[in-house]
Formats: sequence, structure tokens, C-alpha cells
Amino acid sequence: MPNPRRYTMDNQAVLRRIFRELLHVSEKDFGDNLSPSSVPAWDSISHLALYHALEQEFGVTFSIGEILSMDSVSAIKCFLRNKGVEFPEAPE
Amino acid sequence: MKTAAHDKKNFCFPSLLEKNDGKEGGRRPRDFLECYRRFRLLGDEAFSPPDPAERIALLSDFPMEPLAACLAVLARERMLEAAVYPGGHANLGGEILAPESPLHEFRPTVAIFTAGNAFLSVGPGADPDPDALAGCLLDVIDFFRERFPACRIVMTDLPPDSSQISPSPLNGVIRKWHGERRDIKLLDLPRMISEFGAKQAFDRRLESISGIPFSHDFLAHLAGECLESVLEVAGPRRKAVILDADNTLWDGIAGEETFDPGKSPLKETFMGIQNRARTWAERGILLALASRNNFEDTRVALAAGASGPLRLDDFAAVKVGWEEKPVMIAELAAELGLGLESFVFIDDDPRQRDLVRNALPRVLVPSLPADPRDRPAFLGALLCFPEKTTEEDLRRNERYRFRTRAEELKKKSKTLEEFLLDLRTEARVGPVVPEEIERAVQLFQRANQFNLTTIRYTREDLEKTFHDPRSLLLRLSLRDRFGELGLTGLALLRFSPEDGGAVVEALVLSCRVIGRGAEDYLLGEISRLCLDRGYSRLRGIFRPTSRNAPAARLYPRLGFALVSETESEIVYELELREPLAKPATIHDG
Repeated sequence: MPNPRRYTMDNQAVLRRIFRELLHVSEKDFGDNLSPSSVPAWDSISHLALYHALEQEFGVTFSIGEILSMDSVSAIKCFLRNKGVEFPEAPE
Repeated sequence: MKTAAHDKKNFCFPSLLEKNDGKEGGRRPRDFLECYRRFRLLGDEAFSPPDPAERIALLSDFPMEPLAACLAVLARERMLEAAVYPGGHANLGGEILAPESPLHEFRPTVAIFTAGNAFLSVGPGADPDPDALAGCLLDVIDFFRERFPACRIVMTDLPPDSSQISPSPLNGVIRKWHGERRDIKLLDLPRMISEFGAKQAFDRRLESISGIPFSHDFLAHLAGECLESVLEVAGPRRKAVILDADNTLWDGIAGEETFDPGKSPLKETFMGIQNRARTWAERGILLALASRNNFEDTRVALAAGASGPLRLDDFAAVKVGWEEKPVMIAELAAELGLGLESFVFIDDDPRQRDLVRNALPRVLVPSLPADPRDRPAFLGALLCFPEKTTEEDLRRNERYRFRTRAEELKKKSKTLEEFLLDLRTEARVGPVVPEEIERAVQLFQRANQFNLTTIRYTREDLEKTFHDPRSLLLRLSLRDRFGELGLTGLALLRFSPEDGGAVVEALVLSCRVIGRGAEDYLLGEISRLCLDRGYSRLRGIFRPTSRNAPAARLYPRLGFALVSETESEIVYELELREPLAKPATIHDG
């Protein structure tokens, strides 16, 4: 399994960028509570690109269960934290 | 005369590979995420441009949106305005049968069938007979042909399957069926998977989640291959074939020590390829040659009895030298007075093919199989040529040969530098480390063309330099927007503390990187390193051979003065006041 990028200071910025590029979420709209129901572009096909982008950018691998349970930004952060990717604890 | 090289419409450098957000290096052109980002940027017009030249339907039993997204993006990069219909339903037959289905409304001009195994999955008690199973799919395609008689068809055969059904007998049935339907472009999916890397081509998680049997990046690769086939069956009819020479027309590299195509175990295969080229010429298709090698070595390889039936005279135009392939092709197009959309480019090297696809998007660049034994049949099945040839076509080769000799242009232009800048080559120079010794020995043993002294160092010779404070073995590594080129240059320095001088005893470049200014970069670094160590005099040696003419002018061109000259060795010297300037086309990596 690839080594996750544990100590990158910009993890939050990377996550924001992925959401901007793949799901058209602007910087100001980005937040932990975003979910497929609040982001129109977050459909089942985008989801396939989203988990792939997260894996590529953070150097992690998700299980099928994790991919299917990624239903919000906070869930994504939780899975990434479990794999050693650090995010600020405080809500944005 | 129209110069295709300067026709903005024809000669462009798509920005697909621009660096993204500070990530190291540019992405490869068929990277799924890069395609998907671009797809998102295109918005609503991604699948429905206002005035499409082609309407491409993707038909399968698994979701086609990701493949369609990649195809839509890559088509634009090849200057094809295409509407894309992402089918992909378990009820593939129903979609084709029902006149009210969106597919009928879409009115496809090209259909791509790429069935997974789900379509053919059978329940308990079902008939496992390969003919009956493959027949399910083939009947659907035959029915489609009846419904859409003007629509051209590209199809892949079936991917390997993790279920009990072995794919090979089904593919055998498909091949047999295809034998009577040669107007359908059949893509060899097992070969594509094997060349991509079977492990990387599949993603069981993606299959479990979505039913898509492939990995993300293989989808992007498959989209690129499908697009090339669309351009082949539906694009402009091609009037000329540009052939690479080494490892395309014969086995090996002309001029290398071991080059002997007549004794190659693949001799018959390459004869078959040369015969195919002659068949094209007999049909009135122009042949042109674009080879990165010495002209003399290539000429000898095309002499009677050397490699096969082709002769230098069979080519209407010839470019042999050290320019990059897109530059050669643009010059050939200008010389022949044909637009770039008239050309097919055949090259065994996937890197050269990608270079040409990116720089000259209108040229058709089929993905030649990696195994030469598959190539004669592959080339014989190309569907890009005019169906009928006229007397005029048949005379064309002869006329063009005459004209080429008469015009014999040599246009040096900004094109080469523009091209090199666009490659965004980055270089790193440092001491060779023990792990690199094998590659270093190989390069010293094999390099002929850009080899200043042609000293064939052994492993022991090079290992000695590690323990000799007066010696320094440097390596040059390059990367460009297409990825790593790896260790492609070497220099062996010998220092004389007594007189404050240093000598470049050897300097070699891999023939893959000749023509980019890599030698200037390497000498720039050498000069800086010498000054840092307090050496202000740098000597260079050139020992001429029958092959190393491309390296002959290196030292005088960079301002070195002649010190001595014999038949076998020329010595140059430069007083170093400041480091030599590095070329603008290569950046520090």
C-alpha cells in the first residue's frame, strides 16, 4: 500500500481543490457537511472519479465499504484520518 | 507554397499536459483524472458540442459515462468535434431494438461496442456453448448494422473474465464472425490489456461498485484507442503513410554493432511489414520515411538484400536525422504539399506516437502492436485509406518522387525550438551511483551516434572511478511532459590538480534524446562543477567514427578552441571564466 502523505500542511487545500475540479464546489461553499444531496454534480459517476482522485492525491487505498460510505466531506476526512492523513480538527 | 508546419490549424500544441497545481511533472495524456477534470470544465457541451462532425455512440453492458467523458475530452484534443452518447445498459439489445430509445434519436455516425462479460453472464442451466454465448452479442451488432446501415462500427473483443467462462473461445467466435465483416474495426482488447499491464488494467473495486470491469486509467487508455479507431474509420481518407524505420521496417537499429536484419528471427515478420508498405504504394498511397538515425546507415539498410523489398526510391519523401518526429512530419507534409490530415504515421515507439498525436492532432497514429509478429495483420486491417484507387493515384508516388527531388527543401524554422520548449524538458545531473552502473555500462557499450570518444567501458572500468578522487562519472537524467526519460547521458571527467585542468574523457547521449540540447546542458553543468572545484581549464576529446557525426561539432560550437588534431582524435580546450550557458529548451529538474 502506498505511504499516505501524513504531514502535508495543505491537505485541506488539496481536498478543496478536488471538490472544485471534479464537483464544481467553490472555495466559499466548501465545508464538512457537503454531501451528494447538497452538491448537484456529486452523482454516482462523479463519485467514481472522486474516490480515485482522493487515492491518487493522498496516497491511500479505500475499501469498497469506505467508498460506498463516503457520503459527506466529514466522512471522507474521517476515512483519510484513519489512514494517517491529518486535517485540522476545528470545523471550518 | 503552404507550409503545414506553420499552419496554426494543423500544427498546434494542446494544453492538455499543462502542469497542474504544483504537482510534480505534467500528467500523461491519457490519465483518467486529467481527462475527467477537463470533462468537467467543458460543462454541458462536453457530450453535445453545437455542430458535431461525428456522433459517437458508446454501447456496452456496463456504464459508459467515464469512458465517454475521456473520449469527449481526447476527441477535442485531436480537433474532432464529436457528440458522444454514453450508452451502457444491461438491456443493450433493447436500446438498439426500440425505435423510441434515445439512441435512435441520437442518430450515431460511429458506434463503439465494448461489451464486458456481464452481457454474457449466464445463470444456472444456461448454455455455455461459446458460439451461442458470443452469438448473443454478435446478433445485436448485426441487428444494429441493419438499423443504422451508414454508421461505421468499432468494437473490442471481450475482456478476460474472473467468472467460469473462459473468454478465449468467445473471442475466437468473434474473430471468425469478423472475418466476414472486415468493414468493422475490431480492437484487440486482450493485447491492449497485456500491453497496458494486466494488473493495472483491472480494478475489482470499481467493478464491484459500478460494474465497470477496468481500472480508471485503463478506461482513459481505452478511450484513446477507441478515438484513434474512430479517426481511422470516420476521419479523412489518408493519402500518405509516414513510416519510421528502426524497429518498424526492420529488427534493430541501423548502424548499431549488432544490426543484422537478415539474420533476425523476426526477418519474415518485418518482410511482411515492408511488403504491406509496397502494397499501399501499389494502391497509390504515398510512402514517406521519418527516421531518427544517420542517413547513411538508413540508406544502407534499404539497399538491395539488406532488410527486405523496400528501397529508398520507394519513398516519395525522406527525412532522416535527429529532429523530433513531429518536426520531420510537418516538414514532410510541407514538402509533399499535403495537409496533415492526409497522413498516417506508423512507429513502433509509443512515446513517438504520443508526441505526434499531441503536436500534430490531425495525423492518424495507429497504436502499432508491441509484438512485431502482430503487426503485419494489424497494418493489413487499417481502414483509413480510400476504397478505390484511380490511375492518377497510381501515378502519384512517381510524380511526388520527382517533385521532391526537384524541391529538396530544407526549412529550418522556429518550429523546432517551439517544439522543444513545449516538451518542457527538465534535466538533473549528478554522480552515477552504484545502482545505476548497469545502465551506465549499457549506454557506454551501445551508444554510437552521440558518443564523443566511443570508449566501451566495462563495469570494472566504471567501478574504479568510484574510488578514484581524480575521476568523476556524471549522469544526466531527463524528464519531459510525457514522463521520465531516465538516465540518458553520461560524462566521465578526469581532473589534474597539478595543472588545474579537467578533461571530458567520454560523453555519450542515448539516441532518444539527441536534438534537444541535452549535451549543452550537460556541459553547462560540467563547467559549473569544474569552476566550483577550482578547475579553470576544460578539455574535450572527439574521436571520429563512421557513426558519431552528430557529435562532431559539439566542442567547437560551444566555443572550445582546437588544441591538436590527428586522424583519430581531435582535442579542444576552453578557458572557463564562467559556466557555459545552458540551453533555453531545458530546465533544471
